[in-house]
Amino acid sequence: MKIEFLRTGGQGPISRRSASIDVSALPDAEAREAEQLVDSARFFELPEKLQSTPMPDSFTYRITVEQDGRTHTVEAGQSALSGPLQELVGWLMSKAQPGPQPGPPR
Amino acid sequence: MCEHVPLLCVIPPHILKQIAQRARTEEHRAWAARTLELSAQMRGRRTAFAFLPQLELSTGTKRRAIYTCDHGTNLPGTLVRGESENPSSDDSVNRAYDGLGDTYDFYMSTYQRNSIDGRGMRLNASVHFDQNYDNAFWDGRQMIFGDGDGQIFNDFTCCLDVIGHELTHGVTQFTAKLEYQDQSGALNESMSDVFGSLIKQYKLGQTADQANWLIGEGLLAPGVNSTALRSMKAPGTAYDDPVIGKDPQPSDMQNYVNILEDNGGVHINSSIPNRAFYLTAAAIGGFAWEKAGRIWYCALTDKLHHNADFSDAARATYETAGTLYGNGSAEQTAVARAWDTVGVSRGTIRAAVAA
Repeated sequence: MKIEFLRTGGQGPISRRSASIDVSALPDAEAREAEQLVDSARFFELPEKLQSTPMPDSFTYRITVEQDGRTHTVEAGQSALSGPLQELVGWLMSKAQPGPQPGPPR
Repeated sequence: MCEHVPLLCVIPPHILKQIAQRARTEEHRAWAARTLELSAQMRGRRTAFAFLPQLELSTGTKRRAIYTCDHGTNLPGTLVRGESENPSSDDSVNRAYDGLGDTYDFYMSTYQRNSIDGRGMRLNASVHFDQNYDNAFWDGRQMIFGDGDGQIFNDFTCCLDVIGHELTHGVTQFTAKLEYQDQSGALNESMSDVFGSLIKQYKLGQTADQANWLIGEGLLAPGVNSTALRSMKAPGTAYDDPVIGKDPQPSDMQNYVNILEDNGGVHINSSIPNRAFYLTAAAIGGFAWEKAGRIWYCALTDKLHHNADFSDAARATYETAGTLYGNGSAEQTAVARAWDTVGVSRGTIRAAVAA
């Protein structure tokens, strides 16, 4: 399983957080945790966009999971997060790092 | 107050004072108070009411309630401090209370705006939202503040301009409703920076050249190589840090950043109208909320549509400056030159600068 994670919004580029995770390369316990979170969120059944009214300066999350030959991307505003999906985001945020900065190179 | 300045000499002040106190409708009382205030400003006084302690400005009553989420996410949480109640032992609560009050007072004193919706809406804020939550935002009904993560961000109740920025998203929501995408979204962001900054300048009594035009000074943690979150005067210079990167804000249209993220770069390209405001305020001089701020406030509340782009904002502020201060006035010229400098100069602005 591979997971691509991106958080945008907030205060702009300075709030950007991303992670690129090869779950099979994680220690066993963590790998199981990741798989469990993806399962509990029924990730592959979620719609591609989960967003109620966009709120200025709030966070937007984009998660792409590749598992057993299938790939699915979900984009969710923070107010659309709850339950298992919120837990998955929490776990991904613990792995995420700032940047890189968007925009064209100068 | 966005219409042409009334003929103030026709009605003597003592009659205006009577109307301000005794008129049957709020609208008449407010009009009289405004006219008195405007005439006092023109005679060089900041307020007409210093020598009239018994005369109250039109009904503007703050109604604040500060809650704590106690590091959970249920909103609004537990009520900690209501309007006129004593300070809490929790400093985040007190900073939120004061910031909401300062924002209310600014809009009421300067533009006679009664709260965020213009109709005395309650001001509610929740602090200690979630754990290490590195953000603050207006959710359409209330303010929400995180404590920061302690590494990149401090407690979000720290900075008056940040509080003012978030509350101004509410003002925009009730007025122009600028769509939070691409140029209209960058304008939305810019309006929040403009009035957030003015609220701070007003509190500190700073003129345009005394202000530093930084947004969120004190918000970033000591370990971050930065002066602030954003600079309105010198976009792109607020931070340059090995971990979070360099401030990507452009200073003009030539360097407009076309990306999909951040709703089309609304936090990035907001620097272009931000700088136009700074240049306008710096050229006019004095307190920036009085003329430049009035032009921008009137454009936001009277002219701009939900899908306005930078050109629309340039035209709207240019026309507003003409209405308020006269066509060909120094104020209107300052607006035209400012937009031209940042590269927003089609049509009206181009003609004005060429003249």
